Amino acid sequence: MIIPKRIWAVTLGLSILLLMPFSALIGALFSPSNAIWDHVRETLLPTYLFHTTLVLVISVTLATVIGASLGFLFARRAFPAKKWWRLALILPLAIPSYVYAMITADLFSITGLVGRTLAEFGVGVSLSWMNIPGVSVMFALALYPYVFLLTESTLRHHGTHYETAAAQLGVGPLKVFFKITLPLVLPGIMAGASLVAFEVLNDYGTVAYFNIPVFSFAIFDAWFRLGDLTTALRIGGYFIVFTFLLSWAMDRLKKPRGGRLETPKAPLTKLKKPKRVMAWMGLFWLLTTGIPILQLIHYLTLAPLPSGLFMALFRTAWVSAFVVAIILVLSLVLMQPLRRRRMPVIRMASLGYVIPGSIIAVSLMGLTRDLDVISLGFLGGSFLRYSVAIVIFAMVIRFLTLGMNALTSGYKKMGVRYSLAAQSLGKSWHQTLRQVDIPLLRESLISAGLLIAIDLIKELPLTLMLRPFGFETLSTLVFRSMQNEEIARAAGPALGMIGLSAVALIFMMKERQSDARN
Amino acid sequence: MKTLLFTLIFGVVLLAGCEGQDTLVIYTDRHYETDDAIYDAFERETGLSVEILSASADELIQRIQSEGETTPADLLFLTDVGRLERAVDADILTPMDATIVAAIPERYVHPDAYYTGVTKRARVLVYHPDRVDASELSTYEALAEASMAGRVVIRSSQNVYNQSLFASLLDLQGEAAFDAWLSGLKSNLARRPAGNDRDQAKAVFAGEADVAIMNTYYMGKMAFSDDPYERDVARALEVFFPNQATTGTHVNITGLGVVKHADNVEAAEALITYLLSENVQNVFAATNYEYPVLESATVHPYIEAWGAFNEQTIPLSRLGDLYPTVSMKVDELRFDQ
Repeated sequence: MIIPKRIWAVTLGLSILLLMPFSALIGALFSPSNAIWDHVRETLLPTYLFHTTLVLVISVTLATVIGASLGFLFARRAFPAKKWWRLALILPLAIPSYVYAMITADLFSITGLVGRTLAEFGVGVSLSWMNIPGVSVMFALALYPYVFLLTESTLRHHGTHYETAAAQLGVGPLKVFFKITLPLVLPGIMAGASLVAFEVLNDYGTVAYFNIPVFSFAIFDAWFRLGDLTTALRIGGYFIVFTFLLSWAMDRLKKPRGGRLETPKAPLTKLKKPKRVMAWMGLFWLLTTGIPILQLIHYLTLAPLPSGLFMALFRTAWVSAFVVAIILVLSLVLMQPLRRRRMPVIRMASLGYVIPGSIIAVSLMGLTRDLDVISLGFLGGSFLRYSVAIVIFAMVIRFLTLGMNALTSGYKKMGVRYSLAAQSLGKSWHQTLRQVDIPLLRESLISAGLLIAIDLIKELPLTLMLRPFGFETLSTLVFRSMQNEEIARAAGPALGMIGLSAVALIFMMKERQSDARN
Repeated sequence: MKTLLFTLIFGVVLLAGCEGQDTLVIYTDRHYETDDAIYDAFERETGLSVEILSASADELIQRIQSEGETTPADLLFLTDVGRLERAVDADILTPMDATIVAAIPERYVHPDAYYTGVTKRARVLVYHPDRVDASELSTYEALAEASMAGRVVIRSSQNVYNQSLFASLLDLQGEAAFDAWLSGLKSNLARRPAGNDRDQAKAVFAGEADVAIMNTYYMGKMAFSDDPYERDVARALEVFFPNQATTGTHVNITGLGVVKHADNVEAAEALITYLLSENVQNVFAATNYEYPVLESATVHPYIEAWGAFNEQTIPLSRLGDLYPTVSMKVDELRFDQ
């Protein structure tokens, strides 16, 4: 396959641009140590490491169990109103995890609505969520849909071919599950689990409110409380090493095993006791999603809407759409050289997802300052710094990973044969991309775009730290009310986010259905 | 492709914000909606327009530092004296005209007028009268005594309000007594510190604990909350001002200073004057349940009903210097674990 020289140059340039912010973190790792760092290393770091690991293990395991079971159920069994169930069960994705955790933990605590109601009937709830198991359960309930979606789509792509064959050869259903289904679906489960893991690692709001000292908390703690940004960046540097190792380990587990047969879709087995299963599912949904959303709606009736809500809604929508478009185009371009050879620099450049937004923001602050100094003469001082352009650039850095991952697997599925055929028939690189690749990658592009959009709608730290003044999005409005301990006033923008994400989710579902029909 | 490129360029150009000449820019970690009404009134009176950028105090300090001379910020308005001191140390503020703050008690103003307090809040004890007799309460120090075992709640020691309370007590008690007090308090806690100030009051209401340490205005906010449950909580609990016979109750300020590289010093000082005027001081007290710094201003009747109280007299500016020591101590004690 022929890729023009300029594309190589462009992709290399883009990668370096995307990598620049991280130089600050790596630099901090090698800066001389000071008293604050010594204090952090001696008294806090072991705790951070231990707690981070513990929260990750519990939340990822729980999210995986819930998500994978649902994924299996949806991919392998038929039952009524399935598409509505699916939409309902992925709805937690639309709620920022810190809003979700605060509301749900409160609801089921002694001071919350459910706890209080139970107390009226003499049932005392003294369940405390403000601890490591509590925060992990909250993360699992907020994030399991990632595992659910990816498990389901992996299973559906595999068809039931192997399972049927094994069953016909007299293998029991449990053995079929562990020997055949599970190995087939493991890459999908792990892909979902790693999304959960990185979302957990990126979270700051929840762990700060629950007061759980984990890595992301440590970064802010060093910066805000101990007043030392260098130590904060240094913790960020170690954090990146930690997450790179984690992502490398997870990638190894994501590698698809065995061959793959594209089989005609067999009709799904009917669920044996649909009513009972649906009752359990309904109860689970009501407790973990329905009641929290009802609580938000209830709050909405208590407090006035914050001013500027509709402007924020509009702004969130267009920024998200704009960034999704850039990420998809950029991923397409960056993928081209990767189809020819391994290019670690591009892979590195698209690892932003493993780095907490706040760290990207701090790195960019330093970088834009230097750029503005250089450009002082002709752009008039602070052209870049704290502009929407830089917010968008930061979002691209952070979420490019999702676009690249989707296209990597999309291209893998597609292979090079179509592109090669097109080029040997005289189509240029550009025409091949437009007329062959993009139509074939349509499904990957759309589902990646929507997944990114849902993340962007919730995005807080980058926007908060890099935005120009007056630039309020739904998440900054939520943040403001939460800071004031006025949860009721966060309900309007929070529901706005859920609404926007729900639109994206419905599109995603529609797209899948039309894809399944074709 | 061309359309896309065009959209990109157009978008970036459109978005590169411009700041007008008559615009006053405030960086603040006070996010109260009630403040917006005050700024609106200021805009109407002066014809200037006010722009707000809200984020956490340290992010704002960092941002002004990194913006250097090109900073659009004219004023920095923060909710904790320790953070204001940090801003002074970071060399991002400039002294204001001292005549502006002439009417404000000396205690709430930086000695060189780098910042002035605008409102103040006391960190008090809130208790449930069914389970606690007021005679059981006396001082912050007494919360560490054996009689309080398992009865006290407080939010995270990482929080600025606690940092500044702890710093004041460290200053007053001396290091050895403070260490003993802090570990006594930790062993008396009913639960691991977590949640925000209102959560501590709710825990007392629900019977998880008997006494909470929290800021006064949150009681006001709960008493007039949108949420009926919060109103119940505030109605059921009582406020106690500790250390009245000894060193006084801890008081923190929210305050603001002029940014060193402000473009609009005159307008910035006009806004400070406005915020310290009696009318606006009354508004702060009436809408946000804070204590005004101007002594002639009126306190909200709900807050007034608690009566007058003695405040700590140590200079507020000293607290910021003690933050690092306090931080090390709470970490070593693992206060939050």
